[in-house]
Amino acid sequence: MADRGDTHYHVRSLNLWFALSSLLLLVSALWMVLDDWKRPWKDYQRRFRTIEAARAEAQLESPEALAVVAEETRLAGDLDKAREMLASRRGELDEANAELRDAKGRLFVATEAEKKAKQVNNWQRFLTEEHRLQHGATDPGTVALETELRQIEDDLAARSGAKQDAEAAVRAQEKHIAEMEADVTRVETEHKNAAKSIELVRTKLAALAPSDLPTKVANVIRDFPGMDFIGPNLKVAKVLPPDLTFELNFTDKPRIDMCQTCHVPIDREGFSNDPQPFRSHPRLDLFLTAKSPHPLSQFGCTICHRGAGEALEFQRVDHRPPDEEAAERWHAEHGWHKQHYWDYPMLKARYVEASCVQCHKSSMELIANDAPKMAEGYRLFERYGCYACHKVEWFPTKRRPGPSLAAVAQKTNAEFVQTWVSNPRAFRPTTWMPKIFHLENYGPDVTVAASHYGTGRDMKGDEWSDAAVAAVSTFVLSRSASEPLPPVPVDGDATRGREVFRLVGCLACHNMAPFTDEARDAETDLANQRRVTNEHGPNLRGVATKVTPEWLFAWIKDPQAYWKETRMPNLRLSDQDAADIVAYVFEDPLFKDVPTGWSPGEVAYKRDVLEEQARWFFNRELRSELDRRFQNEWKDDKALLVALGEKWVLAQGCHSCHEIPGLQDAQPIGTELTNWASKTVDKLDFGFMPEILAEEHGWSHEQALAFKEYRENFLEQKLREPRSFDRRKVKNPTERLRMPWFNFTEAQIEAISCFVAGMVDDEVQHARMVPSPEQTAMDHGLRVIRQKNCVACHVLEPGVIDFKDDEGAQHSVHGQFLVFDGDVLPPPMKGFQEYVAKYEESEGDLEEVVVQLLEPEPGLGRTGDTVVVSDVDGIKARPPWGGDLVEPIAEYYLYGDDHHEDVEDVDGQRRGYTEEQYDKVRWTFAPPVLVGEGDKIQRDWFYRFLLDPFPLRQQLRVRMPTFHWAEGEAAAVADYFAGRARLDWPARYARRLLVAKEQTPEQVAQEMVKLGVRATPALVRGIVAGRALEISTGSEGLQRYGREVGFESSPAVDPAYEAIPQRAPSTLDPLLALHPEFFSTVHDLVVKGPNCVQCHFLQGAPPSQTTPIAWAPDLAHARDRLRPDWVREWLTDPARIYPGTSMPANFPLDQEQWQDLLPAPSAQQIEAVLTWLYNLDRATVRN
Amino acid sequence: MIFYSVLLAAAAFGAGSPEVKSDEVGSISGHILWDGERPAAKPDLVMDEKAATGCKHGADGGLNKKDDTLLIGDNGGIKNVVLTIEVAGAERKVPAEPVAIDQQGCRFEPHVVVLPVGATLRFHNNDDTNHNIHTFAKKNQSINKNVAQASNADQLLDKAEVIDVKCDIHPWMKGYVVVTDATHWAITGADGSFKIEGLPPGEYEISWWHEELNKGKTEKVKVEAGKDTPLEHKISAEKKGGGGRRR
Repeated sequence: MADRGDTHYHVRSLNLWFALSSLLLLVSALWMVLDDWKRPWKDYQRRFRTIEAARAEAQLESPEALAVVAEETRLAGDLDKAREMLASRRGELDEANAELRDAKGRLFVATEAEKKAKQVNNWQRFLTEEHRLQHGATDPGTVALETELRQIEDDLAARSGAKQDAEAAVRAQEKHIAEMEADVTRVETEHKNAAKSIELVRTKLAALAPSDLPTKVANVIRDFPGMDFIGPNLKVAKVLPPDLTFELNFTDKPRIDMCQTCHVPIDREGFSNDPQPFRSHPRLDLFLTAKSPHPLSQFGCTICHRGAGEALEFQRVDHRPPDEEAAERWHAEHGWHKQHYWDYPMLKARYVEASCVQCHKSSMELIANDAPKMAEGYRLFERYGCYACHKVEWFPTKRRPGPSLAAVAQKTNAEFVQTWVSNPRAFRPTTWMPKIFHLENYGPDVTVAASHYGTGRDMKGDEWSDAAVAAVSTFVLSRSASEPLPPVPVDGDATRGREVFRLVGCLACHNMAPFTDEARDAETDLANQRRVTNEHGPNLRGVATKVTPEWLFAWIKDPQAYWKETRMPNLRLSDQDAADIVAYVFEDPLFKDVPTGWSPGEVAYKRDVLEEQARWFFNRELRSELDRRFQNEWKDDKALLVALGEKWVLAQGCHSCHEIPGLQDAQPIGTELTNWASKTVDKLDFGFMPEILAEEHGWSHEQALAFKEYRENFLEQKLREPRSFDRRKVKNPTERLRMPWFNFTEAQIEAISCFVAGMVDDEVQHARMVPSPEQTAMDHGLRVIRQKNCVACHVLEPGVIDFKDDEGAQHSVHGQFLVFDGDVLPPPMKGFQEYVAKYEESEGDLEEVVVQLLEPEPGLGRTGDTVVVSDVDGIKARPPWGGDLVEPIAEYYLYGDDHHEDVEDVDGQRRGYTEEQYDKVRWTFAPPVLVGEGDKIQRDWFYRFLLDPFPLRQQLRVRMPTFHWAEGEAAAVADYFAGRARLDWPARYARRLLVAKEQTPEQVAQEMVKLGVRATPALVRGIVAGRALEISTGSEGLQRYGREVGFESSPAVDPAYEAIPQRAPSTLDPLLALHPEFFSTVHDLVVKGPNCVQCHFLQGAPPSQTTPIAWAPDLAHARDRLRPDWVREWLTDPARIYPGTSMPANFPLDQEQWQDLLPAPSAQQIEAVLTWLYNLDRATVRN
Repeated sequence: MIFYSVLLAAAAFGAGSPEVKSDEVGSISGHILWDGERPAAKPDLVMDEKAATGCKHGADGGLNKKDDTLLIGDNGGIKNVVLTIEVAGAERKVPAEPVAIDQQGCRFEPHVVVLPVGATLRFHNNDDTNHNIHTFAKKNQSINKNVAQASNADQLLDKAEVIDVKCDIHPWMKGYVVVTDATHWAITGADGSFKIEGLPPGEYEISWWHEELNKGKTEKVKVEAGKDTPLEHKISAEKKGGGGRRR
């Protein structure tokens, strides 16, 4: 309205402002709503919907889908035809329906009539009964009533009959109509079912990319701002794993992981090639799926990957770029930078295995294959002794990693000790002992004690370190026992010693590899090559410059006498053998070979440096007091060195790795690492390293700051250069960093970091991860096996060969290769294709390779059967686990060494062995294979044997040493094998069953279903493959099927007790009552029949064969050592257990022999021999 | 015994030839000879006395310790060379009776046996001691059976290969079983002589095999109906090669 002029404000402009501000508010409100509604994660989800729709479309266009659609169309055509036909009979149908209606009407009438008749009948009965009761049965009234009743009953019967007829008529009519419509019904059903397989895809496609307008509109409305609370297509996905909490400022809150909002298909198969974030998680069999051990709903994402689970933007999640280049790209594309103030950034993809540590502390060995980098870090942590200085509460190894110094003065001399302590790797590049002195914060240009401390001059790091070395070594030698050792009792023969050294087993754990890489690569002598297992003990090159012959003799005779916790076992060497080895070591130039430029010598120290160090170490005492001591008890340099040495040792932590008399209880010097990865990163002292590294690498300021935000950077830098954090700092001598320098390779640094980055404080509830007692026992056993280096000598798992058969089917079997045509030795499994290339160069194309199965393989055959493979290029071989010593020993037997080609056998005779005998030499003279040992050996015997080995196989020169076992270790190893046998049993049963009945998994599943057991081919295949889930659900059913078809198999190993029925009185008494001559009869059978004693020892008596290559173990051990089920299988057909063994099948099931000695079928002969064998100690045997 | 001798003789002089009319076929006969200087005779086998109890001694009371890996007769003929010819379209005759390899005097007699695919091999133990048959077959089934005195062990062989045969109780024993998928075969006698019969007319190359020497092929030989074509072939001393794992 017009301006009245009586207001102070101008209405028009007010209106204008009002309109403007309203508009502004409206726009702002809309903008707010839009801004809140428009989220990046919705874009991702939209993109994913497009991807899924495209995938569904592609599926529908695949050949299979097209075939289904064609089928559907065809059936639709049939349906139409059938309906037409029916329509043409419409008249008939209508008539029939009318007829049906009439019939139903008639039925209704008949039913009613019957009902009425029933009522009349009941009433009449009542009258009759009442009358009879009141007036008696003979009363004329009663009789009349009864007659009436009978009439009525007849009438009722007639009407019932009529009703039944009517019912029948109705049914017949219905059937008639159904028949007419039958065709249509059938085709309708077929049509409905035809498209079942693609129905799901169609539904999905209809939902994702609808073709009709209403659905499209509906989709838009569902996600509209303001409407999307009802039933949106785009929604946040949350996982709340139960019991997994997140520590936030001293309180525990539940985790809410929203990662799947953008990473939509993370737990679904089929997206492995899509760009992130639409890629499936790797190893879905292990992670995220419902069947895996780590289902998504139970674990979420952040418990393993860390990061901010509740954030929905790329930046805020604290995603971690895998490397610098990715970081720059993310910065450019997404504006990414490290999310500040989030204490637990996402782990780098390379380090994600670190998260396994928090749950799997008691199953580290079991997961080693699935988390190889972390497992390697764990092993390195143990090997290099990190745990000795840095406490990790749960770490199972507690022994001191370095040798005891309690008697080091008997072992070596002061010059060696000082040169060694100065720089261990100068003498032995592969040693595990790190460099402790002369490191960068004590470098020759670094001033350690400045002149203004009152010393009068600047003392530099090198003289400081020299003084320290002298002090430490003097101290340690002063504490050591130093009585002279007894001399070597007999004269040693170096040539014989060389042979003993190579045969008795030293090379299983030790190597003598050259110092430089080039020399190592050129090395052909197996003794001088490095494998993982023969680095268990130190490299022995140059050892003659270090130790004395007397010490070496005492050491190899009994290592534990010098160092109680040593891992070197006792080889039970005779004095002569030990003396020969000592002679060999001190005469062969290899043991005097030292790196170029190295020579032992005492370090030169300066007295004034010693005194300055004393002032720092004894800083509680007055200077005047110290000066007095310098004049009196410390006047002699040696006394001062000893006093300083003790302080240095305690400061540097030598006592953590080495046992030093008097310092056994001193505390380790390192930071506790138990919860290191939970430390917030601001608590780590990066020092000036970020700036220093920025200068070196040309980083920007932001990059330098970013370096400080990740705790792994600190860890890696610390491992690489432990003392670098002291750079540019001014520190007094006692404040400087003390961690020694290990010279790790980058790969080692990564592995150890991966392990240490996993030591967090988040204790996952134990309900989530409870290893069964059996698994814990297996883990313990595996750890002991690793620490004792069993695999250096023994094969524990057979090799695996992958090949394609002639039909193109891929197989992966436990097997070995047989000799190629024209060769004498079989090809190696390691480097198989390289060997094939070499072979083809000299012999021409290789057309086929023969693979021998070492386990029953359904579809291929039993153990010992061969498969001819023509596709040689496609063969991949994984070598067996263990048995590294077998080749060196076999080669030594065949080729000898530079001095002689023959070998001294156990009987003292020298014999030569030719390549033709390679197989026998390998199986007879090399350490035995322990695959499946739990099924073969009685566990208690195994345990006793481990504690106290004896020559079971008399022909062996390689010797099983006597290990010293800590509490529970021997039992853990015996339990491991028994546990493996139990765990492997269901899979083995399944394989044997399928092979024996020659059936495929599909056939077996069908048969099982017929028996009423739930089974699918996938289940049977899973049992054969040994997968835990399938075994737990399906093994019982499979065994029921096996019993049905009469498949017999020895039962699984009993966890607790070994039942030996052959020794039980309930077996023996009736047997001996029936056949008093039983034992002598069977003894005759054994000796006169197959004559076992031609090869087997019998209660100490040697066999007929005088050549050791033919010897077999003493039969007297069988009753305590072997399991009867195994022996039975062995006697029946040895080649099915160890293909190629020299033991013949003495009682073949398909051929009866020795009937004159014991008339019975072969199976019974075997039982008789079993009983005899297990009672050898009781039977009076005739020789 | 006579039965076995006949069988052995048949095996030694080429028992493999299909049934065809005798006037439509020809034959090849001749010698396989050693080329070049004869090598020194091999030393006797080392037979452990204790293990050799029960081995049948010869007529002179001693054990036959001759090493028969490479036997060259006085005329230069090589014994135990296996000759095979694959004739396209010809039928391979599988003997109905098992082909025997005997253990006598703790040796395998004959040292080399040839049989066609599908034939049965019979191991017989003629000694007074046990023997175990340990075959090292790659494609056929390997067996390791203990064969009692005077008894047999049979095995059907259905894949072509050369099978080593050993006895673990007497480690010096060695024999060979050549299972051939060729249609015609023969094995040379002590003087290197052989005869292959029943060959349809044509040109053929004969493949030969010997345990110590490489295998190889002879030159082409023309066969005419009703005639016998002579062939003298020399083999030189090429030892079996080895793969790359030799030192």
